[in-house]
Amino acid sequence: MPTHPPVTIRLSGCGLCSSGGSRLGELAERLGTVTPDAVPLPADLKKQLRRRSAFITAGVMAAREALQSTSEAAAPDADPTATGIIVTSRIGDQNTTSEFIDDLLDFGLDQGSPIKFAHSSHNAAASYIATLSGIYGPAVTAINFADPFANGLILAECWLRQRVCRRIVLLQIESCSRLSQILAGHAAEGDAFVFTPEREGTVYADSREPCEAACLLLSARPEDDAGPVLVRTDVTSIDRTADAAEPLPGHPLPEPVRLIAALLSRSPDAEAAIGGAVYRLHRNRQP
Amino acid sequence: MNVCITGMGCVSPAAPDCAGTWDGLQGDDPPALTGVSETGQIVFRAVADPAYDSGGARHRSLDLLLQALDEARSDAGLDTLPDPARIGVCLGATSASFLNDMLFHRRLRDHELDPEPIRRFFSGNPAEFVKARLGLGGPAMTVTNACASGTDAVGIAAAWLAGGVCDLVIAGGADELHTVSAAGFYSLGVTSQHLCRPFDRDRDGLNLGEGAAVLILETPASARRRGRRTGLTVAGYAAAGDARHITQPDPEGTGIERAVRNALHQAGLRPDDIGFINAHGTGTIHNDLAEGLAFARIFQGRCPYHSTKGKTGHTLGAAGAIEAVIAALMLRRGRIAASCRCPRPDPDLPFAPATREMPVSSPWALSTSLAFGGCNSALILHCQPEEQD
Repeated sequence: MPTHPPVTIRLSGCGLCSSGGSRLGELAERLGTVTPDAVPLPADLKKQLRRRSAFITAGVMAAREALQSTSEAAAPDADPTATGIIVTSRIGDQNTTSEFIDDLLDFGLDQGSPIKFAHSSHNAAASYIATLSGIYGPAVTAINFADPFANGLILAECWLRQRVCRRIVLLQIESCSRLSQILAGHAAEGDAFVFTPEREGTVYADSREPCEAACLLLSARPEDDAGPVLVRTDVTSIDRTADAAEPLPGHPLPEPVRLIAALLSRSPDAEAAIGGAVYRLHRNRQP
Repeated sequence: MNVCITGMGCVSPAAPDCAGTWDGLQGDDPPALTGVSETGQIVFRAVADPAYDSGGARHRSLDLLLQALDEARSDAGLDTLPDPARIGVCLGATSASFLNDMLFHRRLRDHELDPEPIRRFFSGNPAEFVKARLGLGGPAMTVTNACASGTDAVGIAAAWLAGGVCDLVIAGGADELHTVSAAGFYSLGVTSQHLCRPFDRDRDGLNLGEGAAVLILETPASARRRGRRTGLTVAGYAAAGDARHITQPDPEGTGIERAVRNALHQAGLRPDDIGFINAHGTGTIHNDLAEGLAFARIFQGRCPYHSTKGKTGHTLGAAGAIEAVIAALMLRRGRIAASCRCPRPDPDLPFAPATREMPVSSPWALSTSLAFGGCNSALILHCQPEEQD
């Protein structure tokens, strides 16, 4: 087994957006803490995102929010080839897939829209994040019903420890599609023929928002040492009585929201259950 | 990176298994199961074993995946699994990761909900399907990086092993010919009505194909514990982004160049160490030129390269895994197949692909993938002399 030199992984930024805008302020208010003022989207970025799907828009905005967070802003000269992107989702951008298929049904198989097809590719959001943020490192998109965010976190840890990347922009994005609304309606009526994940969260986003995206910026760069140290513990679960209630009840991305809440909290040490592991954030000192 | 490949399985339009793949790559003739899509484009069907045909109960991708998986498990001596909790699954896919059943959508628009495609979708995520079927406890990730998915899945699996996440990973990719994908590639204008001609002056697009490949990857310690050969390895992997366009590659191939250079660095190699390149080589104008320009800058015309998509078609999410297996088989054989249907190499390419079969000059091979979204991936394989056939 190859051994890799120890690498300290820090959580140096976060973003939480619906397609309508940032939700970090709402989360901070619930936690009784404060966040930096949201930076409005510049006009050129707004133009780049015009007519893009809610899935892509929310992902780009959450990534931008994370990249503009305080500790990141202190070290803006990051090597763009040393930053990676990992996008996870349970279903992906189902609305865009449906729109492309609608065109095929309405106009014929030889009349599909190339733009809709290209944007229905699961990795379209990662592509826009890379292009609009100038990130040239590896970009991976993964679709899994079970543990999508935990999978992404495991890969991010591997890539940082193996020095494949020095920073990772890790996202989970879930959209509320026509399909997900139908599935949610059936599930509410007890007709739950949908896949049930072993752990937690629903397969589909039953949200009033068209899309929700959460982003964490993980860094192994010494210059990002203002962020808390992220450590995977040997513990596999948190005592729910000791664990606070979900920071944003009903949010379709409970796992990344827990980590973001831990990052925003004032506690010197905070924990978050992700998949089958518990992660601890140590603030202002080595673990 | 030193990750052992202890078993391989592969079904493609070229052959139903690894044993038949070399013969299936010879000559310029189309594969046996060549057909025409609903939009009039040439497509290649996989040589599927009817024993794995679920009759539509599963995605066809999963039928093909099971065929390759069984071959790989047999090759790796994995009738019994060592420690399921330490085994992960990492597979590339496109079609099987979408709810893209045309009839389902037509009915849905008429307010009829057909539950069967939904069940098939929710039970058909490739990595989760294999994890559940084999009762595994490690991570299961379905990589959906478009046409680079298979290469990235193998690279991610190798990172899990190098990072101590798993002892063994079932890695690879699977994809099927699908009406929606075919219509999408047709809409982009990148498919051909003719047999594809990667790197040829007159190339005019790709032929879609289907298939699956599985590589059993293990840490050296795990392979030794099981008494398996450890001479075939994944020596390096890297990916890099173009950050430029949603579908087209960087015309200069700067993204794939960085991916290859980073993979060489990870493997501790120089460009001259590479014996041959199994290129992405789709047969589209933009891909082949970008890739050829990148190879010229890195290898200075001194490394033979070829495309095997003239025989397999472009198998999308499976392509990188199929081509990794093909590269490994060629390393073992000590010979590389010619890049088929390339009688007049594109004069804009700084150096021409290998248009005839030739011996392999070193134990290292490179396999590359380019994808929508500006994703570029490179995988380096190594074969020790005693592993050669």
